[in-house]
Amino acid sequence: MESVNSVNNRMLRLQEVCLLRGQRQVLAGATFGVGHGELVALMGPSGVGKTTLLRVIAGLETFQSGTVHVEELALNGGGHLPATLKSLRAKVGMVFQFHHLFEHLPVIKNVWLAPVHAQRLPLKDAERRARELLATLGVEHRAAALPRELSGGEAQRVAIARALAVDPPLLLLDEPTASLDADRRTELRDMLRGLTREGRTLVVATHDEEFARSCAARMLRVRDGLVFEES
Amino acid sequence: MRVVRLASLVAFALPILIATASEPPKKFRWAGDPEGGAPFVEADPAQPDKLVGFDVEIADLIARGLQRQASFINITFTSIDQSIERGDAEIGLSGIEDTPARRATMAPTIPYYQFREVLSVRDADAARFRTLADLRGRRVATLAGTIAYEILLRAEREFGIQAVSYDDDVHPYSDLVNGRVDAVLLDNVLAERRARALSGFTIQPQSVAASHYVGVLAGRNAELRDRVNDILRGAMRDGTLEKIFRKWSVWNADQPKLYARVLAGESVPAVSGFGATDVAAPLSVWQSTLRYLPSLLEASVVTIVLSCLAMALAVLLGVLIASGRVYGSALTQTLLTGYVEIMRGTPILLQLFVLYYGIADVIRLPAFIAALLGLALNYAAYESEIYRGALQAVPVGQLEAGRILGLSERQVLTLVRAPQAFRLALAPMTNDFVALLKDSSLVSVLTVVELTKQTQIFATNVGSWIMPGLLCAVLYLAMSLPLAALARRLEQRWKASTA
Repeated sequence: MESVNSVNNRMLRLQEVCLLRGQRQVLAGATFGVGHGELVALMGPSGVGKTTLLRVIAGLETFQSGTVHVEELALNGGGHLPATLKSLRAKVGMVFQFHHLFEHLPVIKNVWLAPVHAQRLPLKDAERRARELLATLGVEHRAAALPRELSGGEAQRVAIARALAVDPPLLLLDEPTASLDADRRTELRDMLRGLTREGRTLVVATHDEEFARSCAARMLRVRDGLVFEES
Repeated sequence: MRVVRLASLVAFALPILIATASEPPKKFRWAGDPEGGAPFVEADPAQPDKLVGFDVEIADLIARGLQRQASFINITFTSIDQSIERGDAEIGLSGIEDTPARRATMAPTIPYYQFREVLSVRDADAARFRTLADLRGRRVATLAGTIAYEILLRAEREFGIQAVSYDDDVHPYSDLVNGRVDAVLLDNVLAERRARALSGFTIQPQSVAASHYVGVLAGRNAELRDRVNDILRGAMRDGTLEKIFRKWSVWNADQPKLYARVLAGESVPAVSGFGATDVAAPLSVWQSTLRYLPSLLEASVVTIVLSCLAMALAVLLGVLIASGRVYGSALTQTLLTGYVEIMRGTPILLQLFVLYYGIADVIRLPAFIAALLGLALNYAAYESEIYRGALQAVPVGQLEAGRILGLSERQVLTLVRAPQAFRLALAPMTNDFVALLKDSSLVSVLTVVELTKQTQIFATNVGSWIMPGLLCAVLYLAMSLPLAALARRLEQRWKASTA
């Protein structure tokens, strides 16, 4: 049973989260916390469970036991109620490794779709905000393009713009450097630092150690289903 | 030596003699439709593999006269002329009407039975609906491709009645009693036969027109026809035909008069009475085409309207069924799967019959509505499978992206999943629409005159499928090709946006 509990003042806190997929123990008591406005990198080689951790935090995956707290909202093992998920969506955004832009919609509509339909913003305001975000991320000129017409870096920035359009205080990014060259990685690092300066909390799952060290305030390493703090 | 020669001769000739003696008589192939039933041709209720009826006995009579053995070939009533023309059988006998078109294009026999076209109405209407002129604005039923149908077409123009054509002669009467039609115009033999099995209608004594039954042979078989005529004349003289018709309780005072005229060598007009002029003059192919073109175009409108409405309803129901199967509870999924399997696993013709005739006691659907529902309910099952497959083909990542942005499940479906699935479903949907356009011809069993039915009527009346078939094909293509082109354009446009 889930409840809204007052926990400490951290943005995100995981306690003893266990997730079994078939016979495989993917998470075996993962525990860590992230403070407001922090940029934390989740490190580890491919297949270690970084993406699963992000999906658990985003409510896309259920887990068997343990607790995830996003501010005062608690997710418990076993399954999530629709009302809990609705509250969670207002707090957590996610940028997927493969972007998952809506293939049938142009870039601008990808960005304003959720503000208009989920947050009931007037279309005019949502579109103006979408154009601002695209301009900030340097892809305003691609507003009318379809996702299939974008380069990997452009798709990445549009995906970030789409996630930011609903203004989530906690943003999860899964392997954000996977489709970027060195110059674009630097741009992304600067952009993520800018987001933390706005007070946003970021959790970045990556196996790119150099990128992680260059932008994260703290690094967490995932190993054997557990999360370790790295000095 | 002579003994040896005799023995050799016997040895040589005996096998030939034995072979000649044991060779069965040559077969005399005759075509008929047992679905027409008694008293014409029907399977013997006591021995279903044996045929009985006055046409069966006439076929035997002719075969005996030709010193051959009658051999029956089952042909649908409306295709008998074409089947005879292509040589499937030598003669057609199944209550075949004596029409000017047959006289002009084929080699019909002398008339062997005179019938009258009579009007049947519900008992309660017997006093007010005595003639066709009393039936203005009313629905009058008959069998497609008959003289009676031609008469009703003229009555449509002259008296403003509405002609309704059936594929059989049983349902016009049951629909008359049920109130779906207000009168039936058919020959007295058929009317009296139904009156013995069904109550609630009255046969008006005044006949509308008169014609005859004949045997029909291919135009090239005039010589055989003349021999058959001799046999029939002999049977008229010696009372064999009278005996046959008395046995089947259809002998009446009209027949001796007909036989007297035939035996005297008098010319007997094919049709007499109301509408005789409409069926009297055989028309050239071009004249017939001009005459039937408006009704073919009208029938095309019925086909396209019916197909469009049925497809729209099938799409709507298909979307609901597919959504239920993807998102519904286990019970909903089981029920919907059952529906889909039943509709896909049984013939659409059966479903149409059940909707129109089967449930008529509970709910009396008008023919067009029953046809529309039948096609829509059947195609909805197929559409739902297309949409279910398309919904499931949309990548999960697309749905999760919608969810994480705060869209509700309904919004994820309507804004993300369904638009993408629709693009995947478009090609098979177009395929289905073209198939439905053609399957709409099946609804003619419910008295809806659509393009194929009208073509069949046209072909029966002109005695050829060439021009009617050609026109029918052109009209179907005129409907389906633009549709296919439109679908291709939409596909290309949407494919470009998702490729």
